[in-house]
Amino acid sequence: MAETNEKEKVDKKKLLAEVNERLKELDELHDVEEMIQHNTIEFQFDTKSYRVRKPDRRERQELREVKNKKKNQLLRDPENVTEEELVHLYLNRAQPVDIPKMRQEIRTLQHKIDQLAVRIIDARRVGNVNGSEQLEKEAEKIKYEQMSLQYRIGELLSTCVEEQLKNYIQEYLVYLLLEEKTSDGWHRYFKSYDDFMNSSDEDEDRLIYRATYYLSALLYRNA
Amino acid sequence: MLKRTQDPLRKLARSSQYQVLYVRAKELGCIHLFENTSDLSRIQMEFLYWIALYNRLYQDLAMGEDCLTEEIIDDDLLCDCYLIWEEKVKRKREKDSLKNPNKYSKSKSNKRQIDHSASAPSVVFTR
Repeated sequence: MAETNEKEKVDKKKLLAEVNERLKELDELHDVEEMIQHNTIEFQFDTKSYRVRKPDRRERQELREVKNKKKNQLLRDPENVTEEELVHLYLNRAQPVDIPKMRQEIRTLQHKIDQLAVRIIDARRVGNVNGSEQLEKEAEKIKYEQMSLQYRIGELLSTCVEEQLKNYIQEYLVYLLLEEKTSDGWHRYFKSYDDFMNSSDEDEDRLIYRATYYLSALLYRNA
Repeated sequence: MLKRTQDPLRKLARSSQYQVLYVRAKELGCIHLFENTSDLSRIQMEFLYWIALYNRLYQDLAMGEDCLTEEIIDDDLLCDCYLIWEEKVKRKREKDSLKNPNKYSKSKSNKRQIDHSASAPSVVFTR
């Protein structure tokens, strides 16, 4: 009897975990569905409604102008280095870091993944599921290696002019395209770029983080 | 089968709900997938890419395409592998057919034939 109860408990626990997982999946799908409905994304934050949208022609023009201005400003400062210069700097250090070699390694890993992909499908074709699963694990491991390398390159190059410019534009986009719903419609949340830069509120930081996430879905999203 | 994290965007694109909507939108023209009909966002364009790709895969599955299964379509990694495999096999077949054109023109395809004149939908969703 006690054994049956124990088994039922375990089954219920397993069932609950499965239900929770399914609910999480449904939430994820719902979130994505909301994001694809329109070319603007509305979201709730601390009981208020906000949205981010694609920039219009005038805003795109403004973005181009601030981007050029910022780029020139960054290049004028002798302390700043371009990506190419930074790659050379790393290469000529006492303990060299070879970024082009790392990039080559990413391509080599992709070639390995491609070869594994063919073997995985061939294994499935002949009904060898165990063999396929083994190869799938291998492919996932290589993908992880590839991502780690990509991440490491990103970290190494994070200080170059190009990356600084990218970060600046991302911040500028949030300032430009984050809107708050008020009784008389949608209005820009930050009145000026300085207003955005001076925000030190923790809640505002969380709001900016969410807006950045949604904006990247609207403008950049990389699979 | 291994439990892997799946991209929710791809999951949504291969869902029967959106696949039916996509087929109907293509057939009728007056049904829209999104509220906006132009100036699509990046995520919308990516969604369109996946929905069209999964639509093609479901059609291939219905036609009895060699080694394509629902399990492969439902798993991002297996699906990616299938697409790479398909590309390589197709390229090899194309090369072979250039070398030996008779072999491919005479051999009968093992794909099921679709009746394009029939009004009933050609793809049946099993889920």
